[in-house]
Amino acid sequence: MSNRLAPQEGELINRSMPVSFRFEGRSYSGFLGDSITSALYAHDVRLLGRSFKYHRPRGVYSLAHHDANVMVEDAQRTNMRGDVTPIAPHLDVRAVNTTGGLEKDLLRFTGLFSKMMPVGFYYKCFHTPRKLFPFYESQLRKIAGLGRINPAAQAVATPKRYDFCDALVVGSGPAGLAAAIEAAERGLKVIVVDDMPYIGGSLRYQWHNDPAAKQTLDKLIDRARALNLDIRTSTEAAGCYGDLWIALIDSKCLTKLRANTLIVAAGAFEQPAVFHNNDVPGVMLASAAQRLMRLYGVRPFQRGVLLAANGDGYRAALDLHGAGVNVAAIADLRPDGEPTDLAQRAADAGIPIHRGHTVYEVAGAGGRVSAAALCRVDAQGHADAAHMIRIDCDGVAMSVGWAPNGGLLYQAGAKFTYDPAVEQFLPQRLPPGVFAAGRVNGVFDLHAQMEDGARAALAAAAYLSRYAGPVPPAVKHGGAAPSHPYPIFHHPKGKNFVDLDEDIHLMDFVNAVQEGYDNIELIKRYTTVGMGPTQGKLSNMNAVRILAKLTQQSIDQTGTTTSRPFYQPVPMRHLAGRRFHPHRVTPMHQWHEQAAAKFTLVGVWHRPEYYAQPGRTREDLILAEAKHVREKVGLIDVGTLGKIEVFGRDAVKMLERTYTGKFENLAVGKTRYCLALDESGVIIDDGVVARLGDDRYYVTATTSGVDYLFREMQRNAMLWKLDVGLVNVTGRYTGMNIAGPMSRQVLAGLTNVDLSAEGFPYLGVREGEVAGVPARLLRVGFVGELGYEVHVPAASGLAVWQALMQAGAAHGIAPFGVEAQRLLRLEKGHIIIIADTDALTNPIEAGVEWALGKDKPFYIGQRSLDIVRKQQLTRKLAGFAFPQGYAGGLPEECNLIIERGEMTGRITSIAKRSTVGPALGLAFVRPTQANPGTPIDIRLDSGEMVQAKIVATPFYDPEHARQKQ
Amino acid sequence: MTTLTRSPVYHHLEKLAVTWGQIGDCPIALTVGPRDAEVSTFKRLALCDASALPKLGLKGPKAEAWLRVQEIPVPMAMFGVARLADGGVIVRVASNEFFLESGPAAETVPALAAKLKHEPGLHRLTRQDATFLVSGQRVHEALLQTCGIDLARQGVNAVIYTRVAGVSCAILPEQLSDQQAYRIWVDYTYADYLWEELHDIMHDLGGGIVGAGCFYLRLTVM
Repeated sequence: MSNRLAPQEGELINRSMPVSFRFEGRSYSGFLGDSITSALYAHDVRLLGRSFKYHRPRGVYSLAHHDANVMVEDAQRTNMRGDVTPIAPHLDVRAVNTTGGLEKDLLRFTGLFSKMMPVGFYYKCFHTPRKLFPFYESQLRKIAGLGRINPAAQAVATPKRYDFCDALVVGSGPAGLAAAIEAAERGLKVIVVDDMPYIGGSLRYQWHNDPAAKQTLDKLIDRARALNLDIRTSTEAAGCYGDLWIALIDSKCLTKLRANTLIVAAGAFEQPAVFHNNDVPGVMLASAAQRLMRLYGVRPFQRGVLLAANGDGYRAALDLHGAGVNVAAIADLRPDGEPTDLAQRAADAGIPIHRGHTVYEVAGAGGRVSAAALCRVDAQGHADAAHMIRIDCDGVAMSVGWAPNGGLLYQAGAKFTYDPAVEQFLPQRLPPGVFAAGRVNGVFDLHAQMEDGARAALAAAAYLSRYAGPVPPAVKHGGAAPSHPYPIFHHPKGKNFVDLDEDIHLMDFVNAVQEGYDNIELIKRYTTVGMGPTQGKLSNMNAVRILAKLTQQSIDQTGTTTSRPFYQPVPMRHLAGRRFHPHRVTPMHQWHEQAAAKFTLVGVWHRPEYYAQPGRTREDLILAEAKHVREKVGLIDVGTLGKIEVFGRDAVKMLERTYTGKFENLAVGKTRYCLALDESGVIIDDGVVARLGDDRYYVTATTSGVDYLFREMQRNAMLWKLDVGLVNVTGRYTGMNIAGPMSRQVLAGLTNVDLSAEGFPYLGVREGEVAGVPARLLRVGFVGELGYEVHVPAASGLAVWQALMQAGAAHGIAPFGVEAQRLLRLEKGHIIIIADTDALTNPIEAGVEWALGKDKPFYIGQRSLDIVRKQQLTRKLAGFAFPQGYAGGLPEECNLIIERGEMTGRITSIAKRSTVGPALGLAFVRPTQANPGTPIDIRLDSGEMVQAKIVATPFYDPEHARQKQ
Repeated sequence: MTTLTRSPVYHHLEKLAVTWGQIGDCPIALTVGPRDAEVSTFKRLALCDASALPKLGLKGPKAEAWLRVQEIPVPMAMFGVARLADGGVIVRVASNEFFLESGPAAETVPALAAKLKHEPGLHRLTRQDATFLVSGQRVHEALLQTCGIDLARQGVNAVIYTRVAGVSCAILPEQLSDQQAYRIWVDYTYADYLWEELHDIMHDLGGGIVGAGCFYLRLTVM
């Protein structure tokens, strides 16, 4: 059977382009432009989904984003809304949350036990024994739920983008288009978004029997086209954040839109009435019936009843009648019925009107409506079940009221109050730059909506100082309220659903209030109303009305829940988007790659950890690289080191205050170790200060600490009002350290600098050329061998590196990585900040008290250290070693030092193999344990205890003779 | 050729069918691939490496006066830009700090660098920034995917400091070869990362890599 109507103007489908797809294993056909729901409904498929908890049959309800009855999944995606997902060739979907298929869902009888499963029953029933709760939870989740993620689904890369506009207009209905046109004519850059796949909003389907509406839509579209308006359909404004950052979601990506003004003309959600079996497929919102007819050319039912409480319901009844539907009755909740001529038009069409009546219950068989029972509504709003009118029908349409689509406004900070004139929450106070228009603003008349849109646009233009004329006053709704104050009816059998997402019916609210959950936020958590996929678009308003009645408060006193982004579900792939992970590489990175370097991430830098060789282990290679430096010559990339230029009249003052050491007496051409503390005396960085000229210094800092240090220096320079220039040149210069007994010979052939021990002694700095490139050379001893750090402009780094490797070939030069360097410095007892220190380590504990200037008037952290000195030391960094030939288990970094069952310290650095023989390392120990020769017990990861001895550092070349050559 | 210096993305370009030129001692890709295809890419969405253009920084209270003595047009506004005689640019990056980049003739900056010595109140700064040029019909879409600033609405005589793909950059909107283009300066050590990200995004948008000859017609094959 086909429910397709004859072709009509304005429908979204292209009847010349049939499309085949599969649903629940069966093939169906539709037309290009059909949604899954509309295409299935055209084939009279009414059962389109199962409910969350009771697995009740569900069908068309809003045919928009407003309900989650039709949720489908395919191999790649889940929880797709069938109402708005277009059909496409090869689409093969099934309903979510079924066991054994949609029709034969094994859990379809769950509802029979609904009295045993009120809201929150599982918290009450399954809390003991506690250890079984995970089991209970997993089983409940299998029964009640949504779609399942397929972990084997192929990852889909989605971009993320920014966008900008003067005015974002949300909604392309009459108010939205009028606002966008007015704003664009005022010269504003306008973007219009609409979550539906068409522009025009309700003008496309709700005003079919008003010929002027069609002309209005055509005019609006013509003007929009003439202005070349940027209108984005199928695009949701899913969240509003500070400074009017709006998250826009379309099928491809997340756009972070910065709007100078926001005009919300998003309309209103038609609200359902609450009566027994108000969820049986065939019961739907009147606007859904109109969408089916006017957008997709599908007849909603053959014979139906219309439950109305406003003129929109009568318009829908006339529309249905015009489409050939036998409208068996209009049940009007209002005792006096419709005050406009729509009532007469309905009567003229032969539609029986029952004023002061409601649909009390619906009978359903096989997942379809079979009849509706109408009852009179008494003065208290109760349905009089004693006098029922039974009408055989296969559909019921509801048009009893509206709730504003105000999520974005709430998120933007708008304050809403309830207006009895429209029986709706209306924005009362809007934040600067935010405007509302149309139904969301309580304006329902078609032409008034457009006036309101234009007014909002003028207000936005005036806010942006792009319009200086008068802004008309806000448009007020005239006539009867478009919403009924309480379209909710008790039924002894329940199943009068308030929230279809979560299967919450009226009695759940009564129970919740009886249990003390009598606040809107509490009742939301307890009943989960509004917490489902639609976030209460069709349930929150009724929930507020119910709670207000139960607690005998006004609607305003009851209030609303908090609206938080996202307003619609957003695919996780959109949130992930294109991920940016900035990282840095040195100019020699490609050379390292070709030399089989294994990289490690240090801060944001990729550094060679070691250079791989076939058949050799990482540990072997690291030790071999270290030995090569000790015995011959090695070259390491230290381009990642922080580098700061300090110059100007107060440069030395800057250094004196930043670092603990003394630099006033540092001679030009010399370097000195520098240690930086924070205000509490904790070590934050170290490096070398090199004096290049009278007021010119070149300072190195740690790879990961330089950015923080530099920011602090800049801040302090301003606070101290120093005449100093500071430049972070970390990326502008690269560095390499040539180290080992033969380093001088290798370097000598490439530089014009006198490398002799006298001409360029240990801790000296020179400027000259290396391989024809201007260079800064520093004689340093970090690895404990004769060595030179060569710093050159980054673009020349590779050339200099290659020249050194070439010149060193005759001496057997080899590159070494970070791990070999860590071993070599450990053998010298040199600490690495952050590795051997932590967020509380002061220089006294770390054994670098020698780096503190004794008679300095001030440096950062000095006063804190004065206090620290007066306190008892609780730990001390000390060297330890295992005996030669030790063959037992060895600790890892962070393994604990234990003394008489108590933790007294931890390993900070460990070398399991070293060039000096035994395993050795650094550890924090109690001060009483820090004397050389003291045994320390170390607990391994396995729990085994091993013993090492404290030894004096350096472990290697304690006289520092090798590096001073 | 003597190549003491190299662009940080040289290794990406050397894999392509590139015609090389040289500025100073640094190679520069003049053309990439067949001419017709390159022109088409240039019009649609193009990424170009111009890191070889010589650069220089000056800082200190005497920097502005020194530049005026050298007859360099000095931009008055913070982040303001002026054109150098060789087609390059000078940017005021702070009240007393300037950044200069030569045009393809590479005359002004080398000449200034030869004259500039450290002295009290005047400090020469090494600049090693990578220079990327992006342009084409879809350039704004590409930039919208990387940058939280509305570059389409920025003026052409000021540099914008912002983040592109998460990295701090300076961006100069300008007209090059009759096209709206953006010059992106980025730290040398972040350049490899940024190039890859920009290239990925531009590739997705139908763009690609072009040689500097598309922007600077006077550049010739070496």
